[in-house]
Amino acid sequence: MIYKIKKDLLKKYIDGLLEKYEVWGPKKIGNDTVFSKLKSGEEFIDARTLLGPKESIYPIKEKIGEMESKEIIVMGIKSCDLRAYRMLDDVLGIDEFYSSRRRNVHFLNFVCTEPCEYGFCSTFFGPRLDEYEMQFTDIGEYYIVESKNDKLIGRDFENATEDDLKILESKMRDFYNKMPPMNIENLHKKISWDDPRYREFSKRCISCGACNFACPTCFCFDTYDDDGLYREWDSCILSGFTRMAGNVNPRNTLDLRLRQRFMHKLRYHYENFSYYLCTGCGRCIEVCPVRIDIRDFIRGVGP
Amino acid sequence: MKSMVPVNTRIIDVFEETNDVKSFLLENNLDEDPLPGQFYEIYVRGAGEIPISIASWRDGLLFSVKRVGYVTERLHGMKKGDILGIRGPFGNGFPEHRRHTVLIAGGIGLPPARSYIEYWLSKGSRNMQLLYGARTPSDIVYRRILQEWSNYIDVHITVDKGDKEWKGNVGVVTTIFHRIKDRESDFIIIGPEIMMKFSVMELKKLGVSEDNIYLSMERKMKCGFGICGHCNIGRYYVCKDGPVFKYSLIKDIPEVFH
Repeated sequence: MIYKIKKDLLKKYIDGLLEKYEVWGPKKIGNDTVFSKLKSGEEFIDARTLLGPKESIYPIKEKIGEMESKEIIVMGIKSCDLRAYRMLDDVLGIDEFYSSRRRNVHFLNFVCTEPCEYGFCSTFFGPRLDEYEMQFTDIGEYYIVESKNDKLIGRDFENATEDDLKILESKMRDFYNKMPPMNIENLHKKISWDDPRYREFSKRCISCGACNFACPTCFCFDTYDDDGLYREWDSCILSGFTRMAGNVNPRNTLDLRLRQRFMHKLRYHYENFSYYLCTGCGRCIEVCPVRIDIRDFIRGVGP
Repeated sequence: MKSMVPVNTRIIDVFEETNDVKSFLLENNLDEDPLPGQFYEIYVRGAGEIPISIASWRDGLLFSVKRVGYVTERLHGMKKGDILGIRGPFGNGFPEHRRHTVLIAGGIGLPPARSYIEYWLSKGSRNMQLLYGARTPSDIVYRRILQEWSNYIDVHITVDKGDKEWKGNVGVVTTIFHRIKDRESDFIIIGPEIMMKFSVMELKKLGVSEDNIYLSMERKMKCGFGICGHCNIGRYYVCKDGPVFKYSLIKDIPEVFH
């Protein structure tokens, strides 16, 4: 069904959800906009955060065997992040802890109607998704709410009209005009093992791993013992990622690790799942201290 | 279901194989029995988890472990009766034994080869050959078992460096490739990458088809079932698509022999 809700009633709607659920959403903490637990609907802002809410289904660190799962609502997630978690499902879905948590999280995604500075989502699937639970789009006075699960529809929702949908369509046309998709036809076949840019990047890259940390699709984790077994997000850019006992390291130089990052996202994952492991969210570009830009990389991939 | 949670198991016995290799016989309280060439994640409390190939599973799960790093060092300090965590079995294992098969094992690559030889001997096949290279005579593991196997299959041993008592071949494992009985065999290579690399080169010179060569690869397999992302070689994960790969499948990936 397609509904709409008046923008100023959104707070009330969130307050209603908070009576029954834990709700996460973007809010201001100091000068920063971050994804966090909401205390009231008043706190919610429709904004893109530097880090997505990946932790809602995949905590940075957790003790193996003692993972919790509870029903929560993630409100205001951007479509790029939600699409990313559909990708994580294909890899982590066989993990009992990930999947039990995943089943318990309701994602209510908010569609961007203006391109963000670093984003290039139009290259992959754009700001509006086909797969969602409830999808909100700002059309001025109202949010259009596309719903595939009416369980969370509130009292203040009205039916959307033909005219509302026309506004939605024109907003999307505008978006695509402002963010024209890049050509990625056969990118997975064109990207090469011996692209000289891996070495060029390695001269600038400081191996900080921020690209992995900010990426909503990066799923790699490490395990280690610290009075019990833990798992924690890991980064393929770090030298220890592939290092084995006796100092044997198949990717002992940074250019090989940068190659892994680009090849995994734009080739290996495509070969295994028929889509790129990238949503065009632009966060790796935004957080990179030396301005390694995956958009430039994609544009420069050979003929 | 494949799980990240280790199951407790007791060490039934510990055998000193060489100066730096010990074998650990563990209670098998897991649901699934292994196949030759598969591996387990062994958890040493207070140290961490490591992937180790199964060597044998007649009276429990037998793992032969070389002391090379932090966790193996700690494992070597464990005794009969101590508790370990274990998960598995993981990976695809060796290909089916369908015709004469030559196992080429280097160093600590012999324990996985043992899982294959024992399994197929127990099924009545003697259609195998073992070429085993160790660093020195004192690094040879499973001496008694090697002797026993030589009653059934063709076994050749070489050492990189001999000593006063050593009467056998001296040289890397490729120096005994003239012993290979049949070039139309399946070839299973298990050992350090440099040894696998030169073995493949020599086999190709002998006219062996790339489709008949299998490599048992080693990477940092942390989860064991394809979710943690640490052990990929190109699009393949060693833990779930391997550890055993047909050479022709992975030969064009530059990371194979790093």
